[in-house]
Amino acid sequence: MHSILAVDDSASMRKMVSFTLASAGFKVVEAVDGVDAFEKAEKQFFDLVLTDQNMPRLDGIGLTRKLREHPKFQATPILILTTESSDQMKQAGRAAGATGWLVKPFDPARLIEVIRKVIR
Amino acid sequence: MADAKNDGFDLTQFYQIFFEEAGENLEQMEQQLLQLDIETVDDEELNAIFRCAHSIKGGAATFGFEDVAELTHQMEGLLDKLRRHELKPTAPMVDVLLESSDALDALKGLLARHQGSGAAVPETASLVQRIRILASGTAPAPTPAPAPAAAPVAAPAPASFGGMPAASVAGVERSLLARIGPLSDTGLADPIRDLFRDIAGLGRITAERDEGGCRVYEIHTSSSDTDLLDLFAFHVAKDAIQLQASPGAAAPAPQSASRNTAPAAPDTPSDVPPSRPAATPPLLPPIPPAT
Repeated sequence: MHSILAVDDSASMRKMVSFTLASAGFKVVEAVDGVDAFEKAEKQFFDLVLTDQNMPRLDGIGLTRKLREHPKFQATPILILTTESSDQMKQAGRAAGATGWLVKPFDPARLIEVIRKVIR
Repeated sequence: MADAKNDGFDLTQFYQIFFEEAGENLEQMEQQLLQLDIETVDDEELNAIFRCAHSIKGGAATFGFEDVAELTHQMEGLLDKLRRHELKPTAPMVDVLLESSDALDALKGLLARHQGSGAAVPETASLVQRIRILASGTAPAPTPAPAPAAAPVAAPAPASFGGMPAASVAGVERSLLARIGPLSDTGLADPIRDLFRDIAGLGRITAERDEGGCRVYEIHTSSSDTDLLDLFAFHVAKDAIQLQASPGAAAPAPQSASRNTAPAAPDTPSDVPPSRPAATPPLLPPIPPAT
């Protein structure tokens, strides 16, 4: 079973994403921000990371960069799921090593479809 | 907008968590706005209020609560400019944010009770409009050392940018120097060069040199100081970045970003993205010198 790290400082978003992904058969671990996410990532492997962008302590792009520097996560798909849609933010996310940039509101079925395509 | 019942996913079960969370965010935001002293506001206060609005916006957008999403989106835009020091907080701004917070609370209450229409629904269009006007910065932007007039294009006098002045308006071509450092290794500034290669329309680097432990880039760009600083700050510490007009500016007091160091951007450079094409030319041709 693939495991996904879902990162968002909003509890309702975390719960919704967890529910959506769990219903598609993924195991989901939640983190409340980038620092929490990185600490969890150091302790266990994830097949994919799905993160919000704007979070306290360490944001989605910052988390992406830290994960890409870690030997375990250099090839892991990292999707940033956020309300931010500026081209420059997206390109900065790509420059940091993100695999994809998804804009909220998201369609749960579409989210699962995207994840299934990129997860290994 | 999102329909919370989607292909068999019934997301209405998450409404209650969203309403509770939004209620907490609204309460926090209101308290912080009431405590705000516009003369001595600090970055972390503004960041915290911004995050409250942003958090509500994210959930509202996802669940399809359009009025809430639109109003919080506008609040977020204003708060973003405040926390980036593009605008100075004023009493009218705080007032409209507090009124908006009240309106959101009322909206949330109606939504939680499954009431979405009728005369009791708070009207948000005028709040949105007021926020837009305040966020547009029609009041003069405060600059401690203003550049001569508002001449943003290749100013002949070596003017240094004070804070985030109006001269850093995006969309107008200008030349500037970015001094990065001091660094233990000037190679740590290489990713900044890569940004110009990888991000179309960001601008172009016309020269670079190392001096005194710093990397200096001469840049030709139509991007705003704010956009440049935010992108650079992913790669180097924000207080190691100074932007100033070029060329040959003696730069008595080049202004770096004054935000508190946030833990968001580690100093180590990111991986160089693989095989990208060379940066496209800037959107605007350089403005020829007046004859």
